[in-house]
Amino acid sequence: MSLFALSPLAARLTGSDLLATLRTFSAFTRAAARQQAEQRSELLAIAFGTMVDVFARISIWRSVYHGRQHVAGVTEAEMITYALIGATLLSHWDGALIVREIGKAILSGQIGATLMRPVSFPGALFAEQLGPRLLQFGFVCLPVITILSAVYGIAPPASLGHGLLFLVYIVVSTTLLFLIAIFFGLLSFWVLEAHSLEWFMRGLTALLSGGLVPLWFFPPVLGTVAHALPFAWITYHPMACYLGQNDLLESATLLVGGCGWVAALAIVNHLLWRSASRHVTAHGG
Amino acid sequence: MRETLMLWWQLMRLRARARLQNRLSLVLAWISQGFGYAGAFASIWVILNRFGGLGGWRWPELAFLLGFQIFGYALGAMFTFTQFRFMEEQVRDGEFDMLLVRPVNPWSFLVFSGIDLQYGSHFALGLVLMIMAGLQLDLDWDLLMILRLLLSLMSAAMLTGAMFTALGACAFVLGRSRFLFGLYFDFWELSRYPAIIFGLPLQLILLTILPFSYMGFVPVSVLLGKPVPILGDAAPMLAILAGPITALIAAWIWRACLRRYQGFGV
Amino acid sequence: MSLIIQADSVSKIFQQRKRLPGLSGTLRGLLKPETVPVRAVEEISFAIRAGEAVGYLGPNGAGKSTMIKMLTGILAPSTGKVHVLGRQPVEERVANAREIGVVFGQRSQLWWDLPVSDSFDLARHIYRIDPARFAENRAEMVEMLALGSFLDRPVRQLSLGQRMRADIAMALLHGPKILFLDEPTIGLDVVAKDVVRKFLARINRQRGTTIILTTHDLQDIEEICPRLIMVDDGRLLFDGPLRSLRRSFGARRRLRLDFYTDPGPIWIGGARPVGSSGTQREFEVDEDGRSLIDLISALPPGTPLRDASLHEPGIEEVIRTHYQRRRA
Repeated sequence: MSLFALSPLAARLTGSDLLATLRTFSAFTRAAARQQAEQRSELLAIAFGTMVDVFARISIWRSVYHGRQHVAGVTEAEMITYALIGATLLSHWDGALIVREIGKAILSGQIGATLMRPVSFPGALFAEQLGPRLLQFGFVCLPVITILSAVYGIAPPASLGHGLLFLVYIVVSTTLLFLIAIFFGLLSFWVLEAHSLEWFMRGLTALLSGGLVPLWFFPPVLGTVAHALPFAWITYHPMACYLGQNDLLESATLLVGGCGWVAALAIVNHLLWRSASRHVTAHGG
Repeated sequence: MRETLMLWWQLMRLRARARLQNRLSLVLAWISQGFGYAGAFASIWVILNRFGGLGGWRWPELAFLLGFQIFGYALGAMFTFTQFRFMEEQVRDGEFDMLLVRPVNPWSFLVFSGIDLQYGSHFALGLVLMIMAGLQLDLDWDLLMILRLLLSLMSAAMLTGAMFTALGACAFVLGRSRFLFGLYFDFWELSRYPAIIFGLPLQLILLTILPFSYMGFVPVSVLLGKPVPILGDAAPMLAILAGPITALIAAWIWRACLRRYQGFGV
Repeated sequence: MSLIIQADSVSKIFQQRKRLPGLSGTLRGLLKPETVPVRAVEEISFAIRAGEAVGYLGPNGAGKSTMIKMLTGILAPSTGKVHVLGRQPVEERVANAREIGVVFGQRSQLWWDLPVSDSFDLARHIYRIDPARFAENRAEMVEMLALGSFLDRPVRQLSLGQRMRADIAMALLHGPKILFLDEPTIGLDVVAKDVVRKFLARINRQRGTTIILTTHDLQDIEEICPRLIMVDDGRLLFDGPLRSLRRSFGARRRLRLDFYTDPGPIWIGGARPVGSSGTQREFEVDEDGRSLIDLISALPPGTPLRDASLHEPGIEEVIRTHYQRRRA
């Protein structure tokens, strides 16, 4: 017996099963991506809106720096890079959609039907959202970064190592955003409505992820707390790594910390999902 | 006229009664939305706390801007946002047609039957920010000033409603309008900041074709006695007239789009 | 009786945006959209007198709803003229709306979360109904449609049949001269359908309310509407009393003969053989007024006939045959 057998989830995902599951996932992903690709005017609107958003952030930093060299050890050029990448690759995507989807499924009782599908509902949602997300990476984020960096300049990663680590950070960031959204969505099974949870999540992420303002500008106590919470891995920690705020070892350690949050949230979500499913099976929704 | 007013009152009463059937959910919506906005505003506070100001605006001034912007927005959105965001669906599913077979003005019917009580925390947050900032700012709160504040809030509310109306009307012609609302909010967030931090072209746009500056920056600058670039001396007047003017334009757009819908279908 | 609704060579052409493939196509579509005309209603004319009950029948996409939308002031005709109570509905939408009632089977006018009676009260304000007349009308509707047991229940708790009854009542509270119904019995169970049909027939006869209804269900028309207007592909196919539909469509009766022993090939003048199996033969008979006796007498003498029957085609069959022929 291997270590895998300890977890029923892992046991399910071995060998050919894993392949089959991945295939199902990628089918969901591709279908969702295709659907969004068909609505190009929508994608165009998203790209334009993102441009406006990033432009506003850059304007803020240019205004507050106004001749200052460093603030909290960070330069204006670095903050522009933070805005460019942070607002696109790392926090651009609205996790509230997932909360809404789960809330809808719970309210309509559709969650019962999803139990009959071979793929777990959160997993299917993850796959469905991944398609549009990848599409937006390519057709929204990269063009916006290219256009605006041509005007305002962009700093390269602090070193090759930081750059490579940053790529892993993007994966962790996206996964964490998913998991947090799914967590809030599943909560709507017991407390509040999805609509309310969505707003709570929005408030928490807006501040604590460092989406708009990096944690190094935070007042001391708030900053310390925010550093440790999972939200910080959505935008702040990846950007801190990119800009070389910490040396490679420290960045890698923090990345492991992020993976720890991924694992922790995955387990919590799994337990929540199981308990919700059981509830549905026992009480018929 | 009296009958029309009675109808509007009845519609608002019914909508409120329907919404109040689940009071707990309403209160939770208030709290959670307030929390969501507080998170966003806190980020802005962090910037001002660290840098001392933004575009020459200190925190109490910016807090007043945030309070004004969210209050004016909520005042307009409570009559327009939900219904006009769903215009696409209402046109597609034929629900809008049901309004046309009744002897009512469809716009008024939509507005009053869709009044949304969800903006409680917007108002509370807006009031608290404006009062706290107003006290710190050592302003001369005479009657004229209060009148100006009320009128410019009304103008901001009308502006909000006018823009939602125009966006919703697009569904008559395009069959779709939902995605425009996403774009709207990207621009709307710009109205939280003093417009002077943006480049001149964007400032111009925000004063003309996308008049988001009148939702906060222009009227609050006028109230706080700050100079308004580009507009200059016309600012006090426009801070109050922007709403009515855009409302007229939106009414024209709405009518034109509706006529096209009746003439051509979607 | 006066003409209450008139349609004079009415056409409605929608411009449907053409979707061009590929990214360049999308961009071109954004800059210079290409459209294809879709003819939903083509050159339709009819006139309806006050007090009539007319069924407007046709398959999906035949342009039924489009016609109703033009009569109720939702859409303007592309060419031709529509007059309802002497007005052009789109031009004088509000005045027209005051005098008509509209029920769209799929969409309720009732407020989902509130009791039925609240929606009724709202109708009083929408149509500015005089309170005394409102009370009288409301009581009559409640009695005729048996709404009493659920008037104070929120609409979301009602069954589909109850909701439809309440919707019809709401459309009649202001005493409209014309009642338009789009698929009023769709999705209802047999009992609920029966209640709705009986009520509509009664309101038409007793109050003299003119009724125009579109439907898929022929029984709706058989029980409510003496007159039938049939459309297909936007064009008018038939307008007249239900009973003359068969003749006008050249529908044939079906003759079935049973023999004791296989009679071999059988010929009857004016009848076309359509099937044979063992000792049974079937024919389609021309509509020439011959009776069963006439037909049997035409058989060669000595044929071992055991039984004979002549079937009138049902309306449903007439129409189905027609559409099948069209498709072929």
